[in-house]
Amino acid sequence: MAEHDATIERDAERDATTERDVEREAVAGRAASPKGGGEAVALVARGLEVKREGRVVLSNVDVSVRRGELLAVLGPNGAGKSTLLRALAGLLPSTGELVLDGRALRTLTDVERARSIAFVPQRSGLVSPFAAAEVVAQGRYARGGASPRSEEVRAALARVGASAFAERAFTTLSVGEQQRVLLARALATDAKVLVLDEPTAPLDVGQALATFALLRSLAAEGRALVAAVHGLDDARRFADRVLVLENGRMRAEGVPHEVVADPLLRPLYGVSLREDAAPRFDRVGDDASERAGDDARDESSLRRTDREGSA
Amino acid sequence: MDVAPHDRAARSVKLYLGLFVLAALVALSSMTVGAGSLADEGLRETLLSLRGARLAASFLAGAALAVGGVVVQGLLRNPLASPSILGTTAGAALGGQLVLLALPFVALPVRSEMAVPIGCLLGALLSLLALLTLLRHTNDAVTLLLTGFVLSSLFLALGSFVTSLAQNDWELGRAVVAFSLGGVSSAGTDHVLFALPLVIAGIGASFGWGKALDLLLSGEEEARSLGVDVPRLRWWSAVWVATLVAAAVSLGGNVSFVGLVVPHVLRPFAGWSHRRLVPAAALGGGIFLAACDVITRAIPSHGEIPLGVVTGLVGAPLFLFLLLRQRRAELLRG
Repeated sequence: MAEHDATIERDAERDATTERDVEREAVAGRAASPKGGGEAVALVARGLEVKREGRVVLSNVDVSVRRGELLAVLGPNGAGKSTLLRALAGLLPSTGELVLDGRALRTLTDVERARSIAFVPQRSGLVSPFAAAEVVAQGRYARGGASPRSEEVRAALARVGASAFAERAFTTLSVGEQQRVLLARALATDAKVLVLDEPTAPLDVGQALATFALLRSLAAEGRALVAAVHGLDDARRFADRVLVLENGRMRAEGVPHEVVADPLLRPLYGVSLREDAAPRFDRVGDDASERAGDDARDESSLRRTDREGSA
Repeated sequence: MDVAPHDRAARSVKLYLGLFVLAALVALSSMTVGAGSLADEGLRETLLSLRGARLAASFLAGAALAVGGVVVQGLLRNPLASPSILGTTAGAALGGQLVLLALPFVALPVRSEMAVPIGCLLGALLSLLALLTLLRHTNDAVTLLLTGFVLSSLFLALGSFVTSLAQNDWELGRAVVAFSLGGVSSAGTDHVLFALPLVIAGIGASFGWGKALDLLLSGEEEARSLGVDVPRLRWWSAVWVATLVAAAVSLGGNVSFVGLVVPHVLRPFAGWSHRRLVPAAALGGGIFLAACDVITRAIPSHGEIPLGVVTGLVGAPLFLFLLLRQRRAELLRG
């Protein structure tokens, strides 16, 4: 038994060492494989701090997201989720280390940053009646622009199941349809890191599941995703890792079944969580045929949602 | 508002056909309407030359103001914005008046025809930068309009002060009053040739920044996330709007509402994309102001009605209509 415990400790120590190596290598711009899975750290933040009007709203947050991984950011309202996402996307002034694909994010020009990291807001501020395809084409701005009828735009629209309303004015779309168009715009950027601010908040259950399925398939293609998530069950089912914020500080970070647990979250939300685990989503790197099957189901659920959305 | 691509192309063709036909009609009217008959062979050449310069001046000033309107509306994400409502034309006029006042006392390194537009440019630029600085943290329509109103009132008051100072000298007083009243009746070929490159450069630059301005319609944060250098866009847009307004004011004085009326009328046909709207606004603005100039000559009165009176009579009711419609939409949105 003692030998077994010692092995666990050694493993834990090795994992911790590897974690540090990964971050160091990410800063140096090298790909790293922390667990032999061919994953590379895409975005690292250390000691991230954001001040607004002299008040610290985010303090000492450490984040590391690998390619192929979906990191869910949890926390009650006002915990600083949106602030963290905006800071990670380089859209808010912040201090602390912030490294994107081995380069200090703050040294990148707006165009360089937009090519590498895409931000999907909860709602767009667009009030002009551009066609959905035109909005998606705006995602190509940092890559020299594209016609709303270009292949990149069509592919992005098809990927989120928004082809049916490509020519409709963005402002006339339902909130769920608008959300899909914003996701398509992010896909059109070809950025390998996606930061999403509560992408499923305005969606119904079916649409939300379809969106999470899409996010999983994007991660499976090697993208790194960070998403603020409201539903604890969603975080447990779809995320690879979960980061919990409270009052602008990190409360916990780890794998979903450990973090999304009653002892940790009850004080935050003031409610008791049931411990009956929801079905886990297949991890990245699982059997390829199984994933293909999942993807096919994802696509069909997207199409179904699409018909519902455009009806 | 949903428009399929082929419909959009057909609509563009119709729009430009319509604009070219209107441009031809207005040009013809501008050359034929006014005191003096072209049938008089002794006067014909002089009349054609004067009216040609006047047509060119009004067309260029209208094009510049309309495109300036398109850009500030994109920059501030508000279709109620226009250079005159935001105080930019008043700022440009004050700059021109100050230069006129200074001319007799200061040996400027440029000719006087060039000095006035440079004064207009500096005045327009300073007023726009003041506005953008004051509105850095808000996009509220009421704040925008009130700030524009305050700046406009301030510049007009200072302009009146300059005009009163100029009355000590008869010639200077006349020059400042004539400049303040505006109008293209005194515009000559020199003025047109000086303003032409400024207007062309301003329209070209506005077209060039069009895609970035499209992105800014979604808000500063989204534009930045998609790769727009927003501070640079704001600065250069301000520079080019100031250039356009300065050129227009140096040609036609403080003419109001062109930058508001023209983009509003054209959007249902040209859409919201700046790359489509800027060329249409250049043509439409030119046609609108040239047509207003024809009206000033066609209405029988003692002397000509000032150009700004005609644009004001058309623009003010439309502005009120737009304001009420926007407030209603805001109320409906809750």
